Amino acid sequence: MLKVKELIKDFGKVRIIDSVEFEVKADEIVSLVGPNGAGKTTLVNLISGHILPTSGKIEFLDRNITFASPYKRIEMGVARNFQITNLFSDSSILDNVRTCLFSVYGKIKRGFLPANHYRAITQEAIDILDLFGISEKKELLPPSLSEGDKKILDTAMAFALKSKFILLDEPTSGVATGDKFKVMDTIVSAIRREKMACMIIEHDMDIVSDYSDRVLVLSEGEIIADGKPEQVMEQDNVKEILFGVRA
Amino acid sequence: MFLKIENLECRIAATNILRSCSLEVDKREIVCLIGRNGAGKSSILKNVIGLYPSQMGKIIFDDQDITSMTSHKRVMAGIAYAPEDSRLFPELSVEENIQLGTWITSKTERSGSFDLEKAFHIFPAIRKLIKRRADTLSGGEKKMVSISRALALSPSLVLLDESFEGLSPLVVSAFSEAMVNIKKDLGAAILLAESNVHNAAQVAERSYIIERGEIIFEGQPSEILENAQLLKLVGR
Ligand SMILES: Nc1ncnc2c1ncn2[C@@H]1O[C@H](COP(=O)(O)OP(=O)(O)OP(=O)(O)O)[C@@H](O)[C@H]1O
Ligand SMILES: Nc1ncnc2c1ncn2[C@@H]1O[C@H](COP(=O)(O)OP(=O)(O)O)[C@@H](O)[C@H]1O
Ligand SMILES: [Mg+2]
Ligand SMILES: [Mg+2]
Repeated sequence: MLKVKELIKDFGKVRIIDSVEFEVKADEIVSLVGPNGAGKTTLVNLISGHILPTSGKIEFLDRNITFASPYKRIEMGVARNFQITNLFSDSSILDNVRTCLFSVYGKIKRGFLPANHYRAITQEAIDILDLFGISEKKELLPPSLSEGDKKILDTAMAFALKSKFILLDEPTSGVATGDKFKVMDTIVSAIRREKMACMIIEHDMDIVSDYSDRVLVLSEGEIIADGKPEQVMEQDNVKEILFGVRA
Repeated sequence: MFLKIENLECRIAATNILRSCSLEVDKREIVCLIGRNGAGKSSILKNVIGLYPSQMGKIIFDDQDITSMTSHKRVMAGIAYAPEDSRLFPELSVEENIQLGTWITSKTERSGSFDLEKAFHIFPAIRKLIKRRADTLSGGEKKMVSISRALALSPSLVLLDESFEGLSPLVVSAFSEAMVNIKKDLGAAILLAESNVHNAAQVAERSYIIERGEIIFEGQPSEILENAQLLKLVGR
Protein backbone atom coordinates (compact mmCIF):
# COMPACT_ATOMS: atom_id res chain seq x y z
CA MET A 1 0.00 0.00 0.00
CA LEU A 2 2.70 2.48 1.07
CA LYS A 3 6.23 2.33 -0.30
CA VAL A 4 8.95 4.66 0.93
CA LYS A 5 12.21 4.65 -1.02
CA GLU A 6 15.59 6.26 -0.25
CA LEU A 7 13.82 9.06 1.60
CA ILE A 8 16.04 11.93 2.75
CA LYS A 9 15.11 15.12 4.60
CA ASP A 10 17.60 17.82 5.52
CA PHE A 11 16.83 20.82 7.69
CA GLY A 12 19.58 23.27 6.75
CA LYS A 13 22.79 21.28 6.99
CA VAL A 14 21.40 18.64 9.29
CA ARG A 15 20.14 15.33 7.92
CA ILE A 16 17.04 14.40 9.91
CA ILE A 17 15.80 11.50 7.75
CA ASP A 18 18.56 9.43 6.22
CA SER A 19 17.82 7.05 3.31
CA VAL A 20 14.72 5.57 4.90
CA GLU A 21 13.09 2.63 3.12
CA PHE A 22 10.10 0.57 4.17
CA GLU A 23 6.69 -0.67 3.08
CA VAL A 24 3.32 -0.96 4.77
CA LYS A 25 0.89 -3.62 3.55
CA ALA A 26 -2.83 -3.06 3.11
CA ASP A 27 -4.08 -4.39 6.45
CA GLU A 28 -1.01 -3.92 8.60
CA ILE A 29 -0.57 -2.11 11.90
CA VAL A 30 3.00 -0.89 12.07
CA SER A 31 4.53 0.84 15.08
CA LEU A 32 7.23 3.45 14.65
CA VAL A 33 9.42 3.75 17.74
CA GLY A 34 12.64 5.50 18.64
CA PRO A 35 14.22 8.01 21.03
CA ASN A 36 13.03 11.62 21.27
CA GLY A 37 14.28 13.50 18.25
CA ALA A 38 14.86 10.36 16.16
CA GLY A 39 12.76 11.77 13.30
CA LYS A 40 9.45 9.95 13.81
CA THR A 41 7.17 12.97 13.49
CA THR A 42 9.26 14.23 10.56
CA LEU A 43 8.66 10.92 8.77
CA VAL A 44 4.92 11.20 9.40
CA ASN A 45 4.99 14.80 8.11
CA LEU A 46 6.71 13.61 4.93
CA ILE A 47 4.13 10.89 4.34
CA SER A 48 1.17 13.19 5.05
CA GLY A 49 2.65 15.92 2.85
CA HIS A 50 3.01 18.54 5.58
CA ILE A 51 6.66 18.83 4.60
CA LEU A 52 8.45 17.82 1.40
CA PRO A 53 11.53 15.60 1.22
CA THR A 54 15.00 16.62 0.06
CA SER A 55 15.08 13.52 -2.11
CA GLY A 56 13.57 10.05 -2.38
CA LYS A 57 10.17 8.72 -3.26
CA ILE A 58 6.84 7.94 -1.57
CA GLU A 59 4.29 5.74 -3.34
CA PHE A 60 0.75 5.17 -2.16
CA LEU A 61 -1.38 2.53 -3.93
CA ASP A 62 1.21 2.53 -6.70
CA ARG A 63 0.94 6.26 -7.33
CA ASN A 64 3.81 8.62 -6.75
CA ILE A 65 2.73 11.04 -4.02
CA THR A 66 6.17 12.38 -3.08
CA PHE A 67 5.22 15.98 -3.85
CA ALA A 68 1.40 15.79 -3.69
CA SER A 69 -0.36 18.33 -1.43
CA PRO A 70 -1.72 17.19 1.95
CA TYR A 71 -5.29 17.68 0.62
CA LYS A 72 -4.61 15.48 -2.39
CA ARG A 73 -3.23 12.79 -0.07
CA ILE A 74 -6.29 12.97 2.21
CA GLU A 75 -8.46 12.55 -0.89
CA MET A 76 -6.45 9.49 -1.85
CA GLY A 77 -6.91 8.03 1.62
CA VAL A 78 -4.02 9.11 3.86
CA ALA A 79 -5.17 10.60 7.19
CA ARG A 80 -3.31 11.57 10.34
CA ASN A 81 -3.61 12.95 13.84
CA PHE A 82 -1.17 15.37 15.48
CA GLN A 83 1.29 14.86 18.35
CA ILE A 84 0.42 18.38 19.46
CA THR A 85 -3.34 18.43 18.99
CA ASN A 86 -4.76 20.43 16.11
CA LEU A 87 -8.40 21.33 16.81
CA PHE A 88 -10.78 24.17 15.94
CA SER A 89 -10.95 25.78 19.35
CA ASP A 90 -14.03 27.95 18.71
CA SER A 91 -16.16 25.07 17.42
CA SER A 92 -17.80 22.44 19.59
CA ILE A 93 -16.41 18.94 19.73
CA LEU A 94 -19.32 17.75 17.62
CA ASP A 95 -18.61 20.41 14.98
CA ASN A 96 -14.94 19.45 14.88
CA VAL A 97 -15.94 15.93 13.85
CA ARG A 98 -18.76 17.14 11.60
CA THR A 99 -16.27 19.32 9.71
CA CYS A 100 -14.21 16.23 8.91
CA LEU A 101 -17.31 14.36 7.74
CA PHE A 102 -18.51 17.30 5.63
CA SER A 103 -15.19 17.36 3.86
CA VAL A 104 -15.34 13.61 3.23
CA TYR A 105 -18.79 13.86 1.73
CA GLY A 106 -17.87 16.93 -0.31
CA LYS A 107 -20.46 19.05 1.50
CA ILE A 108 -18.07 21.87 2.33
CA LYS A 109 -18.80 23.50 -1.05
CA ARG A 110 -22.48 23.63 -0.13
CA GLY A 111 -21.71 25.23 3.20
CA PHE A 112 -24.67 27.65 3.06
CA LEU A 113 -27.03 25.14 4.66
CA PRO A 114 -26.90 25.09 8.43
CA ALA A 115 -24.79 22.21 9.71
CA ASN A 116 -27.59 20.64 11.73
CA HIS A 117 -29.59 20.23 8.51
CA TYR A 118 -27.49 17.18 7.81
CA ARG A 119 -29.05 14.77 10.29
CA ALA A 120 -27.25 11.69 9.01
CA ILE A 121 -23.87 13.35 9.29
CA THR A 122 -24.63 14.61 12.78
CA GLN A 123 -25.62 11.09 13.83
CA GLU A 124 -22.47 9.68 12.31
CA ALA A 125 -20.36 12.24 14.16
CA ILE A 126 -22.06 11.31 17.42
CA ASP A 127 -21.43 7.62 16.69
CA ILE A 128 -17.73 8.31 16.17
CA LEU A 129 -17.56 10.27 19.44
CA ASP A 130 -19.42 7.42 21.12
CA LEU A 131 -16.95 4.90 19.80
CA PHE A 132 -14.14 6.87 21.42
CA GLY A 133 -16.11 7.41 24.63
CA ILE A 134 -16.36 11.22 24.54
CA SER A 135 -19.88 11.78 23.13
CA GLU A 136 -21.28 13.21 26.34
CA LYS A 137 -18.84 16.14 25.92
CA LYS A 138 -20.02 16.92 22.37
CA GLU A 139 -21.26 20.44 23.12
CA LEU A 140 -18.04 21.58 24.82
CA LEU A 141 -15.27 23.56 23.16
CA PRO A 142 -11.86 21.87 22.87
CA PRO A 143 -10.06 24.28 25.27
CA SER A 144 -12.26 23.02 28.10
CA LEU A 145 -11.22 19.39 27.57
CA SER A 146 -8.51 17.71 29.58
CA GLU A 147 -5.33 17.11 27.57
CA GLY A 148 -6.09 13.39 27.28
CA ASP A 149 -9.56 14.01 25.86
CA LYS A 150 -8.12 16.48 23.32
CA LYS A 151 -5.82 13.74 22.16
CA ILE A 152 -8.69 11.28 21.84
CA LEU A 153 -10.74 13.83 19.86
CA ASP A 154 -7.83 14.45 17.49
CA THR A 155 -7.60 10.72 16.81
CA ALA A 156 -11.39 10.45 16.35
CA MET A 157 -11.16 13.22 13.74
CA ALA A 158 -8.47 11.37 11.83
CA PHE A 159 -10.83 8.38 11.78
CA ALA A 160 -13.74 10.51 10.57
CA LEU A 161 -11.76 11.14 7.38
CA LYS A 162 -12.48 7.53 6.36
CA SER A 163 -9.03 6.90 5.04
CA LYS A 164 -7.34 3.76 3.85
CA PHE A 165 -4.12 4.48 5.71
CA ILE A 166 -3.93 6.35 8.98
CA LEU A 167 -0.88 7.89 10.62
CA LEU A 168 -1.16 8.26 14.40
CA ASP A 169 1.52 10.33 16.15
CA GLU A 170 1.52 9.29 19.83
CA PRO A 171 -2.26 8.80 20.08
CA THR A 172 -1.99 7.69 23.71
CA SER A 173 0.48 10.23 25.05
CA GLY A 174 -1.37 12.44 27.50
CA VAL A 175 -4.12 9.85 27.82
CA ALA A 176 -4.30 8.51 31.39
CA THR A 177 -2.72 5.07 31.89
CA GLY A 178 -6.05 3.51 32.79
CA ASP A 179 -7.46 4.62 29.46
CA LYS A 180 -4.49 4.00 27.17
CA PHE A 181 -5.33 0.41 26.43
CA LYS A 182 -8.99 1.29 25.98
CA VAL A 183 -8.08 3.94 23.40
CA MET A 184 -5.79 1.49 21.63
CA ASP A 185 -8.52 -1.18 21.65
CA THR A 186 -10.88 1.31 20.01
CA ILE A 187 -8.32 2.38 17.43
CA VAL A 188 -7.20 -1.12 16.56
CA SER A 189 -10.70 -2.61 16.34
CA ALA A 190 -11.81 0.25 14.07
CA ILE A 191 -8.76 -0.32 11.86
CA ARG A 192 -9.39 -4.05 11.65
CA ARG A 193 -13.09 -3.58 11.00
CA GLU A 194 -12.56 -1.05 8.22
CA LYS A 195 -9.60 -3.07 6.89
CA MET A 196 -7.35 -0.05 7.06
CA ALA A 197 -3.59 0.11 7.43
CA CYS A 198 -1.99 2.16 10.14
CA MET A 199 1.32 3.51 11.37
CA ILE A 200 1.45 4.40 15.06
CA ILE A 201 4.18 6.30 16.86
CA GLU A 202 4.41 5.11 20.45
CA HIS A 203 6.91 5.26 23.32
CA ASP A 204 5.24 2.67 25.55
CA MET A 205 6.70 -0.69 24.53
CA ASP A 206 3.92 -2.66 26.26
CA ILE A 207 1.43 -1.04 23.91
CA VAL A 208 3.74 -1.62 20.95
CA SER A 209 4.04 -5.34 21.60
CA ASP A 210 0.33 -5.77 22.33
CA TYR A 211 -1.01 -4.01 19.27
CA SER A 212 1.38 -4.07 16.34
CA ASP A 213 1.97 -6.52 13.54
CA ARG A 214 5.35 -5.01 12.85
CA VAL A 215 7.77 -2.54 14.43
CA LEU A 216 10.11 -0.05 12.77
CA VAL A 217 12.84 1.40 14.97
CA LEU A 218 14.15 4.81 13.96
CA SER A 219 17.34 6.21 15.43
CA GLU A 220 18.99 9.44 14.28
CA GLY A 221 16.98 9.34 11.09
CA GLU A 222 17.85 5.78 10.13
CA ILE A 223 15.80 2.63 10.36
CA ILE A 224 17.82 0.25 12.50
CA ALA A 225 15.28 -2.55 12.87
CA ASP A 226 12.17 -3.75 11.05
CA GLY A 227 10.30 -6.89 12.08
CA LYS A 228 7.85 -8.56 14.43
CA PRO A 229 7.67 -6.91 17.88
CA GLU A 230 9.15 -9.87 19.77
CA GLN A 231 12.08 -10.16 17.31
CA VAL A 232 12.87 -6.47 17.22
CA MET A 233 12.76 -6.11 21.00
CA GLU A 234 15.41 -8.82 21.31
CA GLN A 235 17.90 -6.99 19.11
CA ASP A 236 20.86 -5.66 21.12
CA ASN A 237 21.12 -2.34 19.29
CA VAL A 238 17.39 -1.73 19.87
CA LYS A 239 17.64 -2.51 23.59
CA GLU A 240 20.56 -0.14 23.89
CA ILE A 241 18.91 2.71 22.02
CA LEU A 242 15.51 2.44 23.70
CA PHE A 243 16.41 1.39 27.23
CA GLY A 244 20.14 2.04 27.54
CA VAL A 245 20.76 -1.66 28.13
CA ARG A 246 24.20 -2.62 26.91
CA ALA A 247 24.82 -6.10 25.62
CA MET B 1 3.36 22.73 56.07
CA PHE B 2 5.05 24.20 53.02
CA LEU B 3 2.11 24.07 50.59
CA LYS B 4 -1.33 23.67 52.07
CA ILE B 5 -4.50 23.61 50.01
CA GLU B 6 -7.68 23.81 52.06
CA ASN B 7 -11.18 23.02 50.81
CA LEU B 8 -10.48 24.39 47.37
CA GLU B 9 -13.42 24.80 45.00
CA CYS B 10 -12.95 25.66 41.35
CA ARG B 11 -15.78 26.36 38.97
CA ILE B 12 -15.43 27.46 35.35
CA ALA B 13 -18.63 28.44 33.56
CA ALA B 14 -21.16 25.98 34.95
CA THR B 15 -18.70 23.16 35.55
CA ASN B 16 -17.57 22.21 39.02
CA ILE B 17 -13.99 21.24 38.35
CA LEU B 18 -12.70 20.88 41.90
CA ARG B 19 -14.80 20.06 44.96
CA SER B 20 -13.44 20.82 48.38
CA CYS B 21 -9.91 19.61 47.64
CA SER B 22 -7.40 19.61 50.45
CA LEU B 23 -3.80 18.53 50.13
CA GLU B 24 -0.36 19.25 51.51
CA VAL B 25 3.23 19.18 50.34
CA ASP B 26 6.11 19.40 52.77
CA LYS B 27 9.47 21.10 52.18
CA ARG B 28 11.60 18.98 49.81
CA GLU B 29 8.86 16.40 49.49
CA ILE B 30 7.86 14.71 46.23
CA VAL B 31 4.08 14.32 46.06
CA CYS B 32 2.12 12.85 43.20
CA LEU B 33 -1.45 13.55 42.09
CA ILE B 34 -2.84 10.49 40.38
CA GLY B 35 -6.08 10.26 38.43
CA ARG B 36 -7.68 9.51 35.12
CA ASN B 37 -8.29 11.88 32.22
CA GLY B 38 -10.37 14.82 33.30
CA ALA B 39 -10.12 13.98 37.01
CA GLY B 40 -8.79 17.44 37.87
CA LYS B 41 -5.02 16.95 38.20
CA SER B 42 -4.06 19.79 35.88
CA SER B 43 -6.74 22.00 37.39
CA ILE B 44 -5.18 21.67 40.85
CA LEU B 45 -1.78 22.67 39.48
CA LYS B 46 -3.35 25.58 37.57
CA ASN B 47 -4.98 26.75 40.78
CA VAL B 48 -1.67 26.62 42.63
CA ILE B 49 0.11 28.68 39.96
CA GLY B 50 -2.89 31.02 39.63
CA LEU B 51 -4.13 30.25 36.13
CA TYR B 52 -7.54 29.03 37.29
CA PRO B 53 -9.78 30.89 39.74
CA SER B 54 -10.85 29.41 43.04
CA GLN B 55 -14.28 30.38 44.36
CA MET B 56 -13.69 28.98 47.82
CA GLY B 57 -10.91 27.63 49.94
CA LYS B 58 -7.34 28.68 50.59
CA ILE B 59 -3.88 28.09 49.20
CA ILE B 60 -1.09 28.70 51.70
CA PHE B 61 2.49 28.65 50.45
CA ASP B 62 5.47 29.14 52.73
CA ASP B 63 3.24 30.71 55.41
CA GLN B 64 1.69 33.18 52.97
CA ASP B 65 -1.89 33.12 51.78
CA ILE B 66 -1.44 33.16 48.00
CA THR B 67 -5.08 32.40 47.09
CA SER B 68 -5.62 35.70 45.31
CA MET B 69 -2.06 36.52 44.27
CA THR B 70 -1.20 37.00 40.58
CA SER B 71 0.71 34.19 38.86
CA HIS B 72 3.71 36.48 38.48
CA LYS B 73 3.90 37.05 42.24
CA ARG B 74 3.58 33.33 42.89
CA VAL B 75 6.54 32.70 40.59
CA MET B 76 8.57 35.35 42.42
CA ALA B 77 7.61 33.65 45.68
CA GLY B 78 9.23 30.43 44.45
CA ILE B 79 6.66 28.38 42.55
CA ALA B 80 7.51 27.07 39.07
CA TYR B 81 5.26 25.28 36.62
CA ALA B 82 5.92 23.04 33.62
CA PRO B 83 2.61 22.63 31.75
CA GLU B 84 1.39 19.47 30.10
CA ASP B 85 1.73 20.98 26.62
CA SER B 86 5.19 22.55 27.19
CA ARG B 87 4.23 26.11 26.10
CA LEU B 88 7.65 27.32 25.02
CA PHE B 89 8.12 30.71 23.38
CA PRO B 90 8.25 29.47 19.79
CA GLU B 91 10.46 32.17 18.28
CA LEU B 92 13.01 32.20 21.11
CA SER B 93 15.95 29.81 21.18
CA VAL B 94 16.18 26.94 23.62
CA GLU B 95 18.82 28.84 25.56
CA GLU B 96 16.63 31.96 25.77
CA ASN B 97 13.63 29.94 26.86
CA ILE B 98 15.60 28.39 29.70
CA GLN B 99 17.47 31.56 30.66
CA LEU B 100 14.17 33.41 30.96
CA GLY B 101 13.74 31.53 34.20
CA THR B 102 17.12 32.67 35.49
CA TRP B 103 16.50 36.32 34.48
CA ILE B 104 13.13 36.43 36.19
CA THR B 105 14.49 35.36 39.55
CA SER B 106 17.86 37.13 39.22
CA LYS B 107 16.75 39.83 41.65
CA THR B 108 15.51 37.42 44.30
CA GLU B 109 17.58 35.67 46.96
CA ARG B 110 17.00 32.37 45.19
CA SER B 111 19.12 33.30 42.17
CA GLY B 112 22.25 31.41 41.28
CA SER B 113 21.41 27.86 42.26
CA PHE B 114 20.72 26.83 38.67
CA ASP B 115 22.84 26.84 35.55
CA LEU B 116 22.51 25.29 32.10
CA GLU B 117 24.92 22.50 33.04
CA LYS B 118 22.31 21.23 35.49
CA ALA B 119 19.75 21.03 32.70
CA PHE B 120 22.26 19.19 30.48
CA HIS B 121 22.92 16.80 33.31
CA ILE B 122 19.26 15.84 33.58
CA PHE B 123 18.55 15.92 29.83
CA PRO B 124 21.78 15.35 27.86
CA ALA B 125 19.80 15.73 24.61
CA ILE B 126 19.33 19.47 25.10
CA ARG B 127 23.03 20.33 24.96
CA LYS B 128 23.18 20.25 21.17
CA LEU B 129 19.84 22.04 20.78
CA ILE B 130 20.77 25.13 22.73
CA LYS B 131 20.85 27.60 19.78
CA ARG B 132 17.79 26.13 18.06
CA ARG B 133 14.45 27.99 17.84
CA ALA B 134 11.93 26.31 20.12
CA ASP B 135 9.39 25.79 17.34
CA THR B 136 11.75 23.42 15.52
CA LEU B 137 11.99 20.96 18.42
CA SER B 138 10.40 17.52 18.55
CA GLY B 139 7.58 16.93 21.06
CA GLY B 140 9.83 15.23 23.59
CA GLU B 141 12.56 17.85 23.22
CA LYS B 142 10.02 20.60 23.95
CA LYS B 143 9.00 18.79 27.10
CA MET B 144 12.61 18.62 28.32
CA VAL B 145 13.15 22.33 27.68
CA SER B 146 9.90 23.25 29.43
CA ILE B 147 10.93 21.33 32.55
CA SER B 148 14.40 22.91 32.43
CA ARG B 149 12.87 26.37 32.14
CA ALA B 150 10.84 25.72 35.29
CA LEU B 151 13.94 24.55 37.15
CA ALA B 152 15.87 27.62 36.00
CA LEU B 153 13.64 29.70 38.27
CA SER B 154 15.45 28.05 41.19
CA PRO B 155 12.04 27.33 42.67
CA SER B 156 11.27 25.94 46.09
CA LEU B 157 8.16 24.22 44.71
CA VAL B 158 7.97 22.74 41.21
CA LEU B 159 4.63 21.84 39.63
CA LEU B 160 5.11 19.23 36.92
CA ASP B 161 2.12 18.30 34.75
CA GLU B 162 2.46 14.82 33.19
CA SER B 163 6.16 15.33 32.72
CA PHE B 164 6.88 11.76 31.67
CA GLU B 165 4.40 11.72 28.78
CA GLY B 166 6.02 11.73 25.36
CA LEU B 167 9.49 11.02 26.73
CA SER B 168 11.21 7.87 25.53
CA PRO B 169 11.81 5.15 28.16
CA LEU B 170 15.48 6.01 28.57
CA VAL B 171 14.71 9.68 29.25
CA VAL B 172 11.92 8.70 31.67
CA SER B 173 14.29 6.68 33.82
CA ALA B 174 17.00 9.36 33.72
CA PHE B 175 14.46 11.98 34.74
CA SER B 176 13.05 9.88 37.60
CA GLU B 177 16.56 9.56 38.97
CA ALA B 178 17.13 13.28 38.51
CA MET B 179 14.09 14.13 40.62
CA VAL B 180 15.93 13.13 43.75
CA ASN B 181 18.70 15.57 42.79
CA ILE B 182 16.21 18.34 42.09
CA LYS B 183 15.09 17.87 45.65
CA LYS B 184 18.62 17.74 47.08
CA ASP B 185 20.50 20.21 44.85
CA LEU B 186 17.84 22.82 44.31
CA GLY B 187 16.15 22.11 47.64
CA ALA B 188 12.80 22.04 45.92
CA ALA B 189 9.56 20.23 46.67
CA ILE B 190 7.77 18.67 43.71
CA LEU B 191 4.04 18.32 43.09
CA LEU B 192 3.60 16.05 40.11
CA ALA B 193 0.43 15.29 38.14
CA GLU B 194 0.75 11.81 36.73
CA SER B 195 -1.64 9.21 35.42
CA ASN B 196 0.79 6.31 35.57
CA VAL B 197 0.97 4.80 39.09
CA HIS B 198 4.15 2.95 38.23
CA ASN B 199 5.97 6.14 37.28
CA ALA B 200 4.53 7.74 40.42
CA ALA B 201 5.75 4.87 42.60
CA GLN B 202 9.27 5.37 41.22
CA VAL B 203 9.57 8.93 42.45
CA ALA B 204 6.86 9.97 44.88
CA GLU B 205 7.03 9.79 48.66
CA ARG B 206 3.35 10.40 49.00
CA SER B 207 0.38 10.47 46.66
CA TYR B 208 -3.21 11.55 46.33
CA ILE B 209 -5.82 10.06 44.03
CA ILE B 210 -8.22 12.52 42.50
CA GLU B 211 -11.47 11.43 40.88
CA ARG B 212 -14.11 13.76 39.41
CA GLY B 213 -12.66 16.76 41.17
CA GLU B 214 -12.49 15.14 44.59
CA ILE B 215 -9.53 13.79 46.51
CA ILE B 216 -10.45 10.25 47.46
CA PHE B 217 -7.19 8.78 48.72
CA GLU B 218 -4.00 9.85 50.41
CA GLY B 219 -1.05 7.54 51.01
CA GLN B 220 2.04 5.86 49.61
CA PRO B 221 2.00 5.00 45.90
CA SER B 222 2.87 1.45 46.94
CA GLU B 223 -0.43 1.23 48.82
CA ILE B 224 -2.21 1.88 45.52
CA LEU B 225 -0.23 -0.83 43.79
CA GLU B 226 -1.29 -3.30 46.48
CA ASN B 227 -4.95 -2.35 46.52
CA ALA B 228 -6.97 -3.92 43.70
CA GLN B 229 -9.82 -1.47 44.05
CA LEU B 230 -7.62 1.62 43.85
CA LEU B 231 -5.59 0.09 41.06
CA LYS B 232 -8.73 -0.48 39.07
CA LEU B 233 -9.64 3.15 39.55
CA VAL B 234 -6.36 4.52 38.20
CA GLY B 235 -5.63 1.77 35.68
CA ARG B 236 -2.87 -0.77 35.45
N1 LIG C 1 13.56 23.10 11.26
C1 LIG C 1 14.43 22.28 11.89
N2 LIG C 1 15.75 22.56 11.91
C2 LIG C 1 16.61 21.72 12.51
N3 LIG C 1 16.26 20.58 13.14
C3 LIG C 1 14.97 20.27 13.16
C4 LIG C 1 13.99 21.09 12.54
N4 LIG C 1 12.78 20.49 12.73
C5 LIG C 1 13.04 19.37 13.44
N5 LIG C 1 14.33 19.24 13.71
C6 LIG C 1 14.97 18.16 14.48
O1 LIG C 1 14.74 16.93 13.84
C7 LIG C 1 14.75 15.89 14.81
C8 LIG C 1 13.57 14.98 14.57
O2 LIG C 1 12.35 15.62 14.97
P1 LIG C 1 10.99 14.82 15.10
O3 LIG C 1 9.95 15.79 15.53
O4 LIG C 1 10.77 14.06 13.85
O5 LIG C 1 11.35 13.80 16.28
P2 LIG C 1 10.49 12.63 16.93
O6 LIG C 1 11.18 11.36 16.62
O7 LIG C 1 9.07 12.76 16.54
O8 LIG C 1 10.69 12.92 18.50
P3 LIG C 1 9.64 12.90 19.75
O9 LIG C 1 9.60 11.50 20.22
O10 LIG C 1 10.31 13.77 20.76
O11 LIG C 1 8.35 13.45 19.28
C9 LIG C 1 14.72 16.56 16.19
O12 LIG C 1 15.99 16.46 16.81
C10 LIG C 1 14.38 18.00 15.86
O13 LIG C 1 14.96 18.85 16.81
N1 LIG D 1 -11.05 25.92 31.10
C1 LIG D 1 -11.97 24.98 31.35
N2 LIG D 1 -13.29 25.21 31.08
C2 LIG D 1 -14.22 24.24 31.33
N3 LIG D 1 -13.95 23.03 31.83
C3 LIG D 1 -12.67 22.74 32.11
C4 LIG D 1 -11.60 23.69 31.87
N4 LIG D 1 -10.44 23.11 32.23
C5 LIG D 1 -10.74 21.87 32.66
N5 LIG D 1 -12.07 21.63 32.58
C6 LIG D 1 -12.76 20.39 32.95
O1 LIG D 1 -12.36 20.03 34.26
C7 LIG D 1 -12.14 18.64 34.38
C8 LIG D 1 -10.72 18.38 34.89
O2 LIG D 1 -9.79 18.68 33.87
P1 LIG D 1 -8.22 18.56 34.08
O3 LIG D 1 -7.83 19.23 35.35
O4 LIG D 1 -7.57 19.06 32.84
O5 LIG D 1 -8.05 16.97 34.22
P2 LIG D 1 -6.74 16.05 34.27
O6 LIG D 1 -5.53 16.93 34.25
O7 LIG D 1 -6.86 15.27 35.54
O8 LIG D 1 -6.82 15.17 33.06
C9 LIG D 1 -12.45 18.05 33.02
O9 LIG D 1 -13.74 17.54 33.03
C10 LIG D 1 -12.34 19.22 32.07
O10 LIG D 1 -13.18 19.04 30.95
MG1 LIG E 1 7.34 13.35 17.55
MG1 LIG F 1 -4.06 17.07 32.83
